This record gives sequence, C-alpha cells and structure tokens, in this order.
Amino acid sequence: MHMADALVLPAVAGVMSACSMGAAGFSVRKIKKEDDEKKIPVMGVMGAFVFAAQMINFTIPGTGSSGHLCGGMMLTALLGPFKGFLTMIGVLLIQCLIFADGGLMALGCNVWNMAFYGCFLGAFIWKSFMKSGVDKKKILIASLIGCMVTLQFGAFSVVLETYASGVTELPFMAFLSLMQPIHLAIGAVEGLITSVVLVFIYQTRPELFWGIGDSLAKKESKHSKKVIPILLITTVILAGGLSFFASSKPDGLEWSIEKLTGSTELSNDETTAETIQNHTAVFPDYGLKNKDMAIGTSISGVIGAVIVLAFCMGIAWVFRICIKQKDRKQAEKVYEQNR
Amino acid sequence: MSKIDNAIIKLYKISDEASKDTWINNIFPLFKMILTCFYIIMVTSISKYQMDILISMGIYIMVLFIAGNISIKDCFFRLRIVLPLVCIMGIFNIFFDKNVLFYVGDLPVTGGIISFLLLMIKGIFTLLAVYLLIITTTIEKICTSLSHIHCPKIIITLFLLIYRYIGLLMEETNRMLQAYRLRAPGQKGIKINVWGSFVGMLLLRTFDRAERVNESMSLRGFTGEFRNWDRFYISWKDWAYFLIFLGVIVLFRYFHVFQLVGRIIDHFMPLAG
Repeated sequence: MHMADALVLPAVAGVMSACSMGAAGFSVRKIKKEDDEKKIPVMGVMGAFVFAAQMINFTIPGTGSSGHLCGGMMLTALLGPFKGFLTMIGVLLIQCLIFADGGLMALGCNVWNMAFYGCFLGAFIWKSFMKSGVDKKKILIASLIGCMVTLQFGAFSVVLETYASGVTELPFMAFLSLMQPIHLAIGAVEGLITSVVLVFIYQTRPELFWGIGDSLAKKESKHSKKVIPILLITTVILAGGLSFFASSKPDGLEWSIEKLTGSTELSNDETTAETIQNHTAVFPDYGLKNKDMAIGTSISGVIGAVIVLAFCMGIAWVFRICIKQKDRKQAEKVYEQNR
Repeated sequence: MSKIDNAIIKLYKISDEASKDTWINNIFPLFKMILTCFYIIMVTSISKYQMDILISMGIYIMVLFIAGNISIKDCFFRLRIVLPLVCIMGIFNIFFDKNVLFYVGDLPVTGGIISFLLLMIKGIFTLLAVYLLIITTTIEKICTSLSHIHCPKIIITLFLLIYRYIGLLMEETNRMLQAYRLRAPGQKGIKINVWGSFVGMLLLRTFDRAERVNESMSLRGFTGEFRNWDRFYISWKDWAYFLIFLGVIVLFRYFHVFQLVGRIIDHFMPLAG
C-alpha cells in the first residue's frame, strides 16, 4: 500500500502531509504531557522489531503463497495509539529512505493511510473489545477486525488520493472495486498473523498490552457498542458493496467538477498552465526557420537534447576529474609529509 | 540469498557509502534535503503529456551521478519495488485514454501511452533523487537537518533509534529463520502452527532488550532527546551547490531547454529547409 511519489500530485501530498503532521504534533504533545518521553528507546526498538518482523514470510495454508506482518495494529496493542503512531512514522520514513518503499513526498499520504488508521482507528477497536476484560477470543476478533477495517480505510484513502491526483485514467468505481477486496484479503491474513502473535503474548506476558489494566475500571459506554458493527458494515460496503453500483455516469468528484465547470475534465487548468507557459517560454513555438515544417520542432528538440546532454555530462566529467586530481594532490601531499 | 540477508547488506552498504568523505557527501545536508524535495515536487507537478520537460529533468540526476561518482548499478535494484506499482496504476491509461496525439510513421501514439510512459519515468526519477540523497547523506546528518527545520525531537530520536536497531534485530531474526529452516528444509515460509510462538518469542526478546536499552540510557541521563547534534557550518561551496542546482531544476522545469538549444543551433547552422 506504500504510495510512490509519481502517483500523487504535490497538492494532494501537501494536504495529506499537513493532516499527518497535525496527528504527529498531537501525539508528541500527548506523550510529553504524559511524561512518556523516557519510553522512546522502547518505541525505537519496537519500531525496529516491526521492521524485522515484516521480513518474515508466513505460509498461508491452502494457497501456496505467503504473507507478512504490517505491524500497525500490533504496535497499537502494545504501545498505544500515540506511541504506536510515532513509531510507525519512524518505520515508514526508514522504509522510504533506505528501502525505496514509498515516496518521500508521498510520506504524508503513507503515514495517513497506514499509521493513522492503523494506530488510532486500531486503538479504538482494540480498546472497545478489551473494555470488559481480555481473553484469547477477544484478541483474535479484535486483531482480525482491526486489521481488516484499518486496511480498508487505508485502501480507500489510496484510491481517493490517486484519483484526486489524476494520474490514472481508471474510473473511480473500477479502481475502488479493485483495491478494496484485495485489501480485505490482505487485512484478513495480517489480522490472523497479528492475532496469533498477540495471543502468544497474552499467554506469556499479558502485562505488556496497552491500557488493559485501567480499561477494566471504566464503564462500557453504549456508544462504543454501536461503533464495531458500524465499522464492520463500512468495511463490507467499501470492500465489495460499492462495486455493484459502478456505472458509466460521472462519479462524485466528476459530477462536482461538471457542475462547476460544465465539463468532467479539468480543461481550464490545462489552459491556464499553457497560458503561463506561453508567457514564461522564451521561444513559445520552438520551430525551425521553416515554421511550416512539423518535423522541424522534433528535430530541434532532439538536436537540443543531445547538445544539452553532452554539455551537462561534459561539465560533470570535468568536475569529477578536477575533484580526483585535487584528491590525488592531497594524498601526495600527505604522503610527502609522512615521509 | 534470503530477503533478510539482502536487506542487511543493503542497509550496511548505504551506511558505508554515505559515510565516505567526498565533496558531495560533505555538502550541507539541509540543502541536499531541500533540493531533493524541490526536485520531486517539480517532477511530479509535470502534467501528463509534457514528456520533453520530464526528460530534461533527468539532467539533474545524471549530473549528480556523474559528478558525485555514484554507481547507478546498485540503485536499479531499488526500482523493482516502485516500478511494478506505478506500472499497475499507469497501464490502465493505455486502455482508457485513446486520444491520438501524433503518429510515428503509420503508428498512432495515444495520450494513454504517453501518460503511462510519463508516469514510469516520474517514478524512476523521484526514486533516483531519494537514492542520491540517502547515498550521500548519513542518517545522523538527515536527523540534524530535520532538527534544523524544527521537526519534533521525539520523532528524530525515534527515527535514529529505529535505524540503529534495525540491523541488530534483522540479524537476530535471520538467525531464528536459519535455525527454523535447518529444522524444516524446503519449506517456503513459517507454518501456521508456529506463527505465534516464532514472532512472539522475537517480540519478547525485543521487549526485554528495549527495557534494558531504556534502563541503560536512563542511567546515563537520557531525558528523551539527543542533544549532541553535530554542528554544521555553511560554506560558500554549499551555497554554490544549492543555488546552481536550484537554478538548474527551475530552468529545466519551466523552459523547453532542449528545443531552445536546438533552435539556437538551427539559427547558426540551418538543420532543414
């Protein structure tokens, strides 16, 4: 589900980054308020654990394929939403920088899609189940539902962000009906892996779970009872239900654009961009002397490209040779001094 | 070689490369970070048919690879993660956007083909830009840059700690996996009946290690943030690097430089007609 930079527009990435930064800022404030800053080493090591655990392939019975852990729900169950969220940001940042999994500009989107839903929504589901006590069955159900629901929301966000960026021509509903069922299956596998690991922890060290002790004292609110079925229904609707209503008519976003501009395409943007380009371009037509020749523009472009490439490569090579010579001179100088 | 072995090698290799004492590695890290982000924003903001502009944006990458004497071979391995995803997203453009833009001989080239290729190239360029940043800048320097832009100290410390412990925990995981493989030869992954105990044991060991790390850091006076960030001084070389490449990116993004140079050449030496 990691989004690459190429799949989002800067505007969309900016909005999502702002949302993620808001959630991160809130989490930082919360941790500082609770004086949990000294627990940062634990969060760091747990983040590294999630990373290492993602490398383990689990055989999925009867399919011949394997799955792996994502970790958002597990971090929430052990660290809580705020610490889990910040830990997931660290994990996603390293995945993006070191392992090229997800883009740097799209980091805000990835944090929102995976860490925000995984930790905050996951914490809500986890807490709702564990309010009246912990047992194996509850851990299993909470993990399964938590992973499936959070991944459904994450996948839905991916569709929205990609669609708002306009990088794919795939209709919204078709894209949605492709993404949601796949992530329902992925969520089920991840939920299963998470649940068996958490059940093992429950059997060996139950005190490691987040918020279990104090939650027992609190009364169960009526509101939270309603939330789980609502989330489940939303998941089912997102996963498969909506795809039945896919039609050739404009979808919500297209409909809104059509109402605003009279067309489902954002053609005005192209015109504006072209106008700016015409104003800023030094030679807007790019023709050769014989302006009627269509091929002239292409030839000039190719020739220009070759020259610019050669020129830039030349500069880079000269620079590299200069640096090498400088290094060699320095090495000789050091050698002379040592002798 | 297993997936985890590959990841460990990659991690150490990047760390070694970034620690080298070369001119590009010594550039003020915040400038490199700003330029990388700016480049990615410029590349991703190119509209779906502006192929010439996009190709010219590759100059920045090419120049840095050559001048920085960076091996391009290793980074192609990274493309295998990004390109399939971008390809899946973009391939539908070929079927949905059938608007013919031009002909190559008798062969029509549709908008879908161009936008698909453009998406793939964007994916490659943005990935190479991040690779250039990480191969020339250590994580410590990136953390210092983040502190310069007032990123919360908790996030920076966390990021640094995760990075520090990844190698250690991956090696531990690898040892456990090797032991499992030796007892279950020819098996593709971990069987369902040991899922819980396998990861659970790793988790418990990690938690105990985390507690020990926490206690030892607290004993040494750790209060939640690292304070001894390296101090960097911005020299004229850093400013020159920053301003030149900023100019290069803006120039290639907003002007059709290739065609412009072609036109100038044509002015002095007519190419056709």
